Amino acid sequence: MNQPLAAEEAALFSVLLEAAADAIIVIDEVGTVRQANSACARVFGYELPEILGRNIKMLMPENYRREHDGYLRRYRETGESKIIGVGRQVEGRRSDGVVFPMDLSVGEGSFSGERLYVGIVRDLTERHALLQTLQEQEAELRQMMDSAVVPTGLVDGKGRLLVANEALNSFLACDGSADVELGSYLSADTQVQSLGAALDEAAKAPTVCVLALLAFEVDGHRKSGDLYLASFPRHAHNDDHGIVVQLVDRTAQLEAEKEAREIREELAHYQRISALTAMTAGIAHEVNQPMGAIANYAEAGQILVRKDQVPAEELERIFKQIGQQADRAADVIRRLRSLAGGQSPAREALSASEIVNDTLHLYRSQLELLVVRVEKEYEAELPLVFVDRVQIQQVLLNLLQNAVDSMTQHPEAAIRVSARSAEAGLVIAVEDRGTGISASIAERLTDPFFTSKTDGMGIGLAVCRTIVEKHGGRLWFENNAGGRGATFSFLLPGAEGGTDG
Amino acid sequence: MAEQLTTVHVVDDDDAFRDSLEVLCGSVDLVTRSFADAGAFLEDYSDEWQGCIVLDIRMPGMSGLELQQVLLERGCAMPVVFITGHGDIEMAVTAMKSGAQDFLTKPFRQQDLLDRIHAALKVADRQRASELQRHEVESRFERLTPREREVFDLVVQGCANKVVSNRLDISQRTVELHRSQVMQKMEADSLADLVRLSLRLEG
Repeated sequence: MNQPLAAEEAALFSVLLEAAADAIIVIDEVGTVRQANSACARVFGYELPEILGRNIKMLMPENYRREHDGYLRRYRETGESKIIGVGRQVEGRRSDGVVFPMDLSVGEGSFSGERLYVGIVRDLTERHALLQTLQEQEAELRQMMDSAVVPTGLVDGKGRLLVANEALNSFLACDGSADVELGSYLSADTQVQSLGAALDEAAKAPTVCVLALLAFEVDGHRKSGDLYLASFPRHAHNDDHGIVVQLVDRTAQLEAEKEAREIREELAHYQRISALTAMTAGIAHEVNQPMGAIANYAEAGQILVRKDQVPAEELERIFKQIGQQADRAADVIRRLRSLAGGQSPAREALSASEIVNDTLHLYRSQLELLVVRVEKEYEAELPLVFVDRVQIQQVLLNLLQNAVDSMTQHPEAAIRVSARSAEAGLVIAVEDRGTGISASIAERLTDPFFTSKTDGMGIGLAVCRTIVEKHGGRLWFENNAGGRGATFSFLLPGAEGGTDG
Repeated sequence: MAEQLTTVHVVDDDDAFRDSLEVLCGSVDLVTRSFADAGAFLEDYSDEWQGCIVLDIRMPGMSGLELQQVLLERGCAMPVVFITGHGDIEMAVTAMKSGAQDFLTKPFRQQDLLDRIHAALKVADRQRASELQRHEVESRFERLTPREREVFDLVVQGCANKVVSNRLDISQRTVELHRSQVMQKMEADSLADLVRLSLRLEG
């Protein structure tokens, strides 16, 4: 090796040593520090001369110190190393006694027959602090997620669950360990494709997609919820998107609604039955008329047949009448049965006259009995409405009954039933000449169990309002001008295309 | 007119029921005259009409009960059979108190209705017969002179000729003459007969 070159190399070595951000330290076979750079002095908190010539153990915490001589000796004797060429995370000890984490990589070489080791040390204190902060932050986030009541998680573009909070795990009845695909929980009647499409859409742009009212099948239980999807880039450098899912659990809400609906339907049914009970006399009359006529015709027929000279036409006419009256009775029974039965609602397109006439027909004898005059008034060109016949009849029946009840003391009781078209559909109004509605009861009139009658249950108008609103309509009332009774009206949205000419 | 005596007047607003009643009555050779409401009946009504009335107790407009009242005021004596529905018992009671012949609650047996119609017609017949007799007796009574009527009144009260002669201050002989005129004009065979006729006059 020639001298000038060695000098240059030594200078270059010195520059490299000083330029390194990591601490570099050279020791001999027994651990004496032969060389170290300024970074080494800085990392360990010494002045460089304090380190040079001293044993490397001064830079180690107590537990490493005891072992170090042993390590060096064993390597010398056996050539077995646990660190050379590998690099390990170990601990160093600063001059002030503080132990800190550091990354140590060791190399070795022979110089003039002497074995030297080079150690490169990177102080991990900051990184460890950073990691700890991250861990704490993650724990905090995790805590937040888990304490959130909204089932929340993170899925990939295929709907595979990456992270789930406790609420989501509990919704899906999984413990978060198994591979879970959101789509596999959707029940058969829910569009699984719609989830896929929404995931695709969400992955394309960081939008919020809402999938309303998905049905899930979890452990044989049906659960329902709205799914909110929002994507975000998972990595700055590629297109990988994570999708945050939030699920608004509506199972309980839907069950409560179903229960409420069932109660309302029961109430409506009970109300219909009580309305029918109130109409018993009228109904008996409705059935008695045709039955009585049939009995009369039949008796007359028998008497006539016993005579010889009965004209065949006369008998034919009698039989025809019997048939017609039987139909008439059957018709009454049919109307009654549909009103009394609790069958599920079926909607059909009906005209105002069908609704009003059918109902008045059922109620006719009651009105006659009470000597109430009824006027009908239809506008021309009324829209058809798509309604449940029985329920709307029930509404009208109720309004008629209320109108009659309001006029019990009225010498000239009269009801006007009118139908007119409105922009939003068909309006049917029942106008009475009764006592009107006082301001004090107007506000509570359609509340369930509120009644102004001595023998009322207070469910009639509440049921009416429920039925009309279920049809997308509206029910309201007002006092007539001059204190002449009140008018109850209800609006039904018009059926698509079609008027009652 | 014999036909009029057995006429059944039907007032019922139900077209089919009214028609069936006509057919039923017709099957047993009863003549009917029917009306859809009380107004139509009153429009046609004549006090010459004979027979009975089958009346629906409840009808739109004037009810059966109201029609019964109007007819009573007009002196119509035709017996009324009311047909009532379920729950009309109160009205039926009112009708009976106002002198209705009978009432039937729907549904009823057809033979019951016919029986009651026949009974009502029998009542009408009897009424008519006694009415005729009364008319006859009245017209006989009309023929008596004022003095003969005075004698008639006293005789049917059971006064002997002598008492009559004293009361009226006429001779017994004159009393006997008047008395024989009375017996002749009243077409009475005996004193008992005369007393019976006098009762009809009061009836």
